[in-house]
Amino acid sequence: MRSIALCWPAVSKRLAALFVLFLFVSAALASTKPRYGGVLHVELLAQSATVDPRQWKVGSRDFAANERLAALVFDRLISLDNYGRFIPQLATEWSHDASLRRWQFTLRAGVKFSDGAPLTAADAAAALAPLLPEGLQVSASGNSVIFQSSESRPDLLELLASGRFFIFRAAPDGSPLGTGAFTLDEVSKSARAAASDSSATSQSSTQHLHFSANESCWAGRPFLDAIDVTLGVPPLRALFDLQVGKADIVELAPDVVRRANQSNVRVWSSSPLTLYALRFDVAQPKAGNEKLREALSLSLDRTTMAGVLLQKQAEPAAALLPQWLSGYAFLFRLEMDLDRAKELRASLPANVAGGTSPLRLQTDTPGDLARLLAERVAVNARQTGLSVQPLSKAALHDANAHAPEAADVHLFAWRFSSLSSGEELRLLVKATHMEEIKEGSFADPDRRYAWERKILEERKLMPLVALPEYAGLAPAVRDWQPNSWGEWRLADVWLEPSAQKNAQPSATTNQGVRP
Amino acid sequence: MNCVNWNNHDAVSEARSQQLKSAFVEELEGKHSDSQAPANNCSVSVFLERTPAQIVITAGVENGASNQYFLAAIPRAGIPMESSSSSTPRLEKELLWQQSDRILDALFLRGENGMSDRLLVLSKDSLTTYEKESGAWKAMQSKPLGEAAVSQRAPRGELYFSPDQPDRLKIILAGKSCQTTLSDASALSCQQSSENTRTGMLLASTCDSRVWWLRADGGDVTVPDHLELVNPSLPQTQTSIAELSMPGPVLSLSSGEALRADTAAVFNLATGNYEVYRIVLACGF
Repeated sequence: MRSIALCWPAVSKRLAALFVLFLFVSAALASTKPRYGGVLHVELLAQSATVDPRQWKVGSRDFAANERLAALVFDRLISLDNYGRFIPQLATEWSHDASLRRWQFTLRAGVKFSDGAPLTAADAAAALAPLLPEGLQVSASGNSVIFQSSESRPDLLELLASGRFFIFRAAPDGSPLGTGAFTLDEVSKSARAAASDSSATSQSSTQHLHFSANESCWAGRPFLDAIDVTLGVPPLRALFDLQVGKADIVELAPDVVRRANQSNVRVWSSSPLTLYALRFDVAQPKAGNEKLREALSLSLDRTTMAGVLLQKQAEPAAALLPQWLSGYAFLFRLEMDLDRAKELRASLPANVAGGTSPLRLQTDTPGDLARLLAERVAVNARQTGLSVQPLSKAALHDANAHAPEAADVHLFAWRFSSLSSGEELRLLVKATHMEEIKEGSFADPDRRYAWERKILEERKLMPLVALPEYAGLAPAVRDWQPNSWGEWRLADVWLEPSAQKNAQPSATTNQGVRP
Repeated sequence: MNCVNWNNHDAVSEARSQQLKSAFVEELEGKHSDSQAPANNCSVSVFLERTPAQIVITAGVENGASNQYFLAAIPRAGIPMESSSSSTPRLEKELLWQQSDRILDALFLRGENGMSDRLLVLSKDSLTTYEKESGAWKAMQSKPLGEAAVSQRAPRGELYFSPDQPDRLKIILAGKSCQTTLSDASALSCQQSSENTRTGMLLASTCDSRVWWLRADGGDVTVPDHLELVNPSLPQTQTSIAELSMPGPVLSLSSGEALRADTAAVFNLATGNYEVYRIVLACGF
């Protein structure tokens, strides 16, 4: 590197004049900081949401909306940044014993709930206790929160940095109070006429939530004055609202992402967060037929499901946990072998999954996407001589039917929520009743891989496709720094007033001013 | 040399990947000195994959017709990543310091008359002084900011140093103007202030005896900045005569060396670290 030695006399003559100039420039360009103020209008697809983590159903599609809203009003003990580092939030430091069974977190001093009450270790322990997995206990000791596990928990930080593990305190009326950047002021419901994609106009209910800035938030006041959230907005309506400037951030359904991109809307996508999969009902006799399961699995064309049916807005899934979460999903291959599937079918009695006794496939997840996938599964199966009959929940419980027949196979959606891949796999397996969860942690990747491989080889669970989540952003939205696992981090977002006035569809690249 | 099919799927930087590969091959050779697999028949495949918190390392070993896999995971935070950056020939940068905690501003003070070089780093709640000893920075003093500590969501602070008063330092913090001395541990003396935020610094060149205005081009905090050198007479409208890519948004520009060099505090988007660069002008334009 060549540095320079200055000709100081020549330079110093210019300094007096430049000093005046410097003051002028400072004043002129001081507007490049983040702007405080403004109301962010957010529209979500979920029909309703609750910020109370105790009421969330793990794996459900509503989990994402619940978590995004809860993140406005609550904090966790720690968070994970985009660089793989655990960042202190309500806990400032942590340590563990040699066996990783006992963890101690020191609480940040001076943090207050939105009602002014100080945060205590007892509050944190009380909030987390009902949320923790079996075998993990939490207690308070002075200003510390202690976790004691019956097994080694090297994944405790991942666990606490994600999912339901927010810190809150129940108000006298039972509603949870938080320490986060916003406070939830108002929840209201209204019915509105919703022109759906079909010609019929129907009434749909929407839920509105209003969040105000928490002026005394320990992490600093958020830039926004308030966030208005509308739930239950139909996908096309959300895109329209974004384009005409009625909304600043909207959740985009996968089937409108292509349209949004064509309209030059700023579109954000996460890593694949929702798995669509098949589950054999182990209580039904057909689930016990190993050849039938293998034939069905080998007939599934996941690549076409993701590429054509979902217009490349999804990824074909060969594993239960996605690659971004497990790090080993690439070891599982997409299996499709029609010849082998036909051979297996030929070796089965004709009445097994035949025309008179089809495999009954129930879609447990509402929506067009699940229905389309179920129909595609039936088409794929038919190519190998298997008969699959898609059923809706309504058909199964038809009042005219004499006795509802149980489905043999279920198509379900699972929304990933934990950054601990071992815990996520355990929750998924537990929810699908695949097998009794054995004692022992699956934080070790070797054991986790072996366990997932065993489940996949049994073919009682068959992954189909995994979908990311999408959001459309108005040009005025600045410092949009979500993470790839779906957290939006709205407390750090601010609005550019000039962009708001000229709210037009803009380029997809981030452009703006330096805060 | 053992044949290892090495696959780094953007889990770590390529340089780090090569280091890991070399160490792996060396270890493997030590354990199996007789294995001389032909290049087209690699018996070991290694995959480096990144998850939000870990680097997952998978070793696949051929075992007859099938593969046997061994997996291990290490925390991502334990593997420093190199940043990739480029520079133009006129503006040059030198990395002085990096840390994971937020840096509001920093000053590099060139040691003169036998004194050591010093680096002042302003964070949300303290001012730390480092001195260069045997080529490495050593923390000499950390002065708490006390009631002046910043609790804003996007905290800002600025250091002002004058060579005429080498023991004194002015700090602008969230509506306060503070004074302190560098030679002792005395507390900051602060008063309310509404000074404007600094948006650039002057930088002089011996090549043409001119003084230039150094500024960041100013984008969203989610995109890397460029440092730009413009004519100071009309900095708002001038196009830059030199640019320097930085690894992330520039948080502050300051100078402890009068016009000879400036100091830039930068958030490195690739690593998540806060970094301090010394910015100088090289002749050639």
